[in-house]
Amino acid sequence: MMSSYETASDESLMLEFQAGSRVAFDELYSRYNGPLYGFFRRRVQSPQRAEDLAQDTFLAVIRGATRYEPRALLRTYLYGIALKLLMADRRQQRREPASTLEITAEPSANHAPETTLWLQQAIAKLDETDREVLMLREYEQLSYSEIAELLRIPINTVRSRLFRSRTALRDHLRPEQRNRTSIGTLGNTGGDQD
Amino acid sequence: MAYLDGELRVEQATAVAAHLGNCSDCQRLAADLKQVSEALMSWEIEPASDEIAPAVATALDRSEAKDVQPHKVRPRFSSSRRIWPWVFGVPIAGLALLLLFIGVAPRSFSHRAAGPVPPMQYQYPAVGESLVPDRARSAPGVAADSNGLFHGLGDHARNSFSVDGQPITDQQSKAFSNQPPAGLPATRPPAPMIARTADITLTARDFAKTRAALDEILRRRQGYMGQLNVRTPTEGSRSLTATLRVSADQLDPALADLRTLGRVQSESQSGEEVSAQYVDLEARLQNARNTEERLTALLRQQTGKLSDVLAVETESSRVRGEIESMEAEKKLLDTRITFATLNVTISEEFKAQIKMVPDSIVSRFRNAAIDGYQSAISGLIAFLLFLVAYGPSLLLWTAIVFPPIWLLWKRWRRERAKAA
Repeated sequence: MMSSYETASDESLMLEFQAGSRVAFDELYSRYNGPLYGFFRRRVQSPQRAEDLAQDTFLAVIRGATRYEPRALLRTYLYGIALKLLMADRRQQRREPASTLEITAEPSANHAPETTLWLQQAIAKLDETDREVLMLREYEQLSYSEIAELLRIPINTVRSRLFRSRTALRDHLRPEQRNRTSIGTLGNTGGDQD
Repeated sequence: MAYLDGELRVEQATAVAAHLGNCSDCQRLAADLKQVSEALMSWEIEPASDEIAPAVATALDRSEAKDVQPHKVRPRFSSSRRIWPWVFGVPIAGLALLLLFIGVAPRSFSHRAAGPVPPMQYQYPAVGESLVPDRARSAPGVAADSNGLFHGLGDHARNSFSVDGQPITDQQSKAFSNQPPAGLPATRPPAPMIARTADITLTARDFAKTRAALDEILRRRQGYMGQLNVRTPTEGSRSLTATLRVSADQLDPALADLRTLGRVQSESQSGEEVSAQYVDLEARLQNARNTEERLTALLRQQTGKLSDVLAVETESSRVRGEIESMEAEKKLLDTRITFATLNVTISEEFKAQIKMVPDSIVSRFRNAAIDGYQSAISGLIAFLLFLVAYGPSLLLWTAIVFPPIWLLWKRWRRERAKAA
């Protein structure tokens, strides 16, 4: 029995939950509900849909608890489930013509402030696979090896895609940054920040 | 970039940090990439609710109520009771193999045997199977020795290289290897890889029924519709052109089914052999993968300038792009080989329609009157355009040419009048 669940590792919490500890699951939930919601929220348009998918992830964890084996980090395991749910959701959206807005599952832009709209548009311009690698690195803070394991690609592919996506994003963001600077600096000469 | 992400080993990171202090280009690049990461962080998401969602809570309650026995993670090493079978089993199995080896080997490879050397059991890909390794049967399992002579692998105990307990010489091995295996099919060349295409044109009586039958044939032959165009003109017969993809071994049965749909106007088949293309693609892919591995090894041991590291990364990125492109091309080739293309054109038998009620005479007159009015207006406009376009020229030449002619004519009339 853990003296304090707050300091226990994710894998040990999962094993505790497997053994029947509800408190261990509560701790896991509080640790990962936010990150999983953020994962989905940046990839689907509707906040409600993102919440549902995050819930589905935990439901999948509960259903698979008896089969869980700590072969990899729990974080990788959770995001692996999340990715599969996301792909299934995208396939379903493609089959339903009414919800064409979510077909490509582009980053949500409905209620984002203007400062991030241009960022989301720049991200949306990236190649789909490059975008996923970049977002897993920047937002989910996964390591190269975790991303490689999750997406089932070689680690060198992760490196090259990250490099490609960051340089592409830099080029997309540069004109926007110049425009925002010249708009924002009223009364100044509004020169090139570079 | 790996340095910025904290993915380098300590010694590499130290070297990179030292370089960054001296190289302005690399500093600029690093600053740009950091700026990109910081920009990305500006996209914030509203926080999620802290409470457990009702659906999750219900699932938890249900799993508790079921009182499912937890899955005990089996330790890597079994308990003591499970070890004992292995402790006794492994030596017994080893002893059995040894006895088999001793018992079989001298008889198999003795040079005192009168008859021919018993054959090695090779397995060749069956006729019709492709060159693709994962579709072929297991490899023969041969390896070349230093003299380039082939020996069998795998079941070494049976195909050992000993004679009377002594290793056989290469001469003996050569004599053995050069004998064809008895009782086995002769060596067959690998089956070619063909991308098959067929075209068929039909005329059908009942277009709708034929259309439905086409879908049924696709379903039965486990194919899919690549493209479909249906034309339904207001006058004339309907027609359909479709590109079907069916499994290569279902092409002939599919064609047989299609022939029953109507009268065959034309039919043709062709096969494009892509074996050389496929093998070449595999070779190029393997080379690219080897190059990528070498680049990775270089990156791992790279202690030089950061610009060199970035150059290797860029090259690695390019090679990875090439690999992915070739893998996509290979997948496309696989699809073309696995699925044959069937171009189908079906046209309906033309049936002229009798108009029982002719067009109204009044509307025909009306149409004719409108046509007449329009042609009159068009003619007038054309005449006016002619005048505008050529009028000035005509006036000019008239002004030039007419006075002398008029004078001449008047003189001629005067002289006639005098003569009269």
